[in-house]
Amino acid sequence: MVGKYKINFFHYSQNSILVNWPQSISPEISSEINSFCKAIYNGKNIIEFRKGYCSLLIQFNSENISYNRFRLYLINIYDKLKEINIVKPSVWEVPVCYDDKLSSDIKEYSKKISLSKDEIIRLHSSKIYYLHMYGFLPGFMYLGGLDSKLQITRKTIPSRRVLKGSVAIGGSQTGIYPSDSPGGWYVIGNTPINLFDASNLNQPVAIPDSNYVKFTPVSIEEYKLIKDEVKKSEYKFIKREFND
Amino acid sequence: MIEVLDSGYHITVQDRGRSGFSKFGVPVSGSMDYLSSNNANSIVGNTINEPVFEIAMMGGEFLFTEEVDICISGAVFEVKLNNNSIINNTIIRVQKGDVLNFGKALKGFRIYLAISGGFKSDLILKSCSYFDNITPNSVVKKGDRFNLLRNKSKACNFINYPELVFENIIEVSKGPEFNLINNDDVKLLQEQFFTVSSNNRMGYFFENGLSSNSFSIITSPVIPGTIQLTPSGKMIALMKDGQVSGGYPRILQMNYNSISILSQKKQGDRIRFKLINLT
Repeated sequence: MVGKYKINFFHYSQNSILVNWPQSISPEISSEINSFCKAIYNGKNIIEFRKGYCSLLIQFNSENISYNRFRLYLINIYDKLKEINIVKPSVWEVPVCYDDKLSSDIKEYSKKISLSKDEIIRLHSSKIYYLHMYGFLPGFMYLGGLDSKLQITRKTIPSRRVLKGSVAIGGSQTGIYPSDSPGGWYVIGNTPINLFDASNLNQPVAIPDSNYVKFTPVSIEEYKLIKDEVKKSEYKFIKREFND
Repeated sequence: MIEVLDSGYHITVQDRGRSGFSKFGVPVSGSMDYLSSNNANSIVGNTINEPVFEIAMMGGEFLFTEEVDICISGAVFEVKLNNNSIINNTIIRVQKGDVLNFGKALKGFRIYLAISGGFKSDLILKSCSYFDNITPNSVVKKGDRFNLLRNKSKACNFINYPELVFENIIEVSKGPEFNLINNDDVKLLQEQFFTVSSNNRMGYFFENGLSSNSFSIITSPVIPGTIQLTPSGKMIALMKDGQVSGGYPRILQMNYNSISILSQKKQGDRIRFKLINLT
């Protein structure tokens, strides 16, 4: 049974309400937020929603429904939230090339955390990461589960341009830059696959949230081959069912 | 057709924005000062969803290859149609071969150009609003051409009072982390003027702020109009192209009209916050 936390509400703006779960980062909370989103998704007064690790900001049609009535509507849905809304997660494999040519910061990073490059790759690619939500940039995944040995304070001066596909580490998080962007994380590799497609109206992101991501090391030759497949729209994701 | 002869300082195509995609990390975008873009569209008889050109700070020149009605609204710029000055908030008939030139902003920062019947601009994720990595272009460039659409819609729209956006009172409600700030800062927030240091479509930054702090929150959702408090005590007001989530405390939230009012401010302009209760 879900709907098991004590949630609270905050009147955020004229037409939005913030729903807060207990303030901690966990797949259980994210998964319940996701279930809650699914339950309200087609509600007639819902305009859109934005996710945090442990909160949800919902914009509603304030011309049709008052804040208080909308809040009661949400409480009612939360109380009835059933397990049926839980999606069985998959583990999606993301190929990453950790070659020096594609990992501009790995030497500096390796020195700073006192781990060899091989050890970094081993630790980074052996874990599975929970996809809590999207944010920061279109298609940017907030991934949880980084090994504590890989944590590092963000760069004091952010890089002006981090390349699309860069796999990077900052703080206690790891992530992939879905497009060129300034950024303060350490780049340790690059993925040849696309994670965001603005022409896909229904599912612009490649991996749905509340799933798991695993990084699979590939050589520079394999990287080029996959990149070619992606270009020809022939690339197929490898994913498997998640078992605890 | 409209051809861009000069791309000015920063010109984009904007409509009401991209609603429904923020769960994928996509900002809403859309006109910064929606009151003025609505006025420009309404005056030429368009619906308020029709894309317009958003012209910031200075510059921009457009050639019209056919006759059409236009309207400009928002900031007061030096604007000339074939060397004759034209004014905001009236229907202006341009003829084939006419050149519309934008000079400097004299009052305010963003002016909107609406074309009666609309113009063609690609709809991507349900919006024409330019945004880097979503639309092919992030700004209007010299040589860009836009076909006129001649949509027939005699929409009966409400025209907003055009001077409203030049006021300097920004109405805000308390944000979820308002209670983190101390009483002196609460007083300061309501009594002091805050000076804009810089701005873009993502956010407004201020020269002066509150006391420095070490607050941070677990990455949480934000929307346009959210005012965040950074560790230095300076505030960031998130605007239409702002990120969908952030880790700075959300101390205030601007209402719709205040987002439009702030959008007309530039470096050095001073504003004051007025705390209101949401009803």
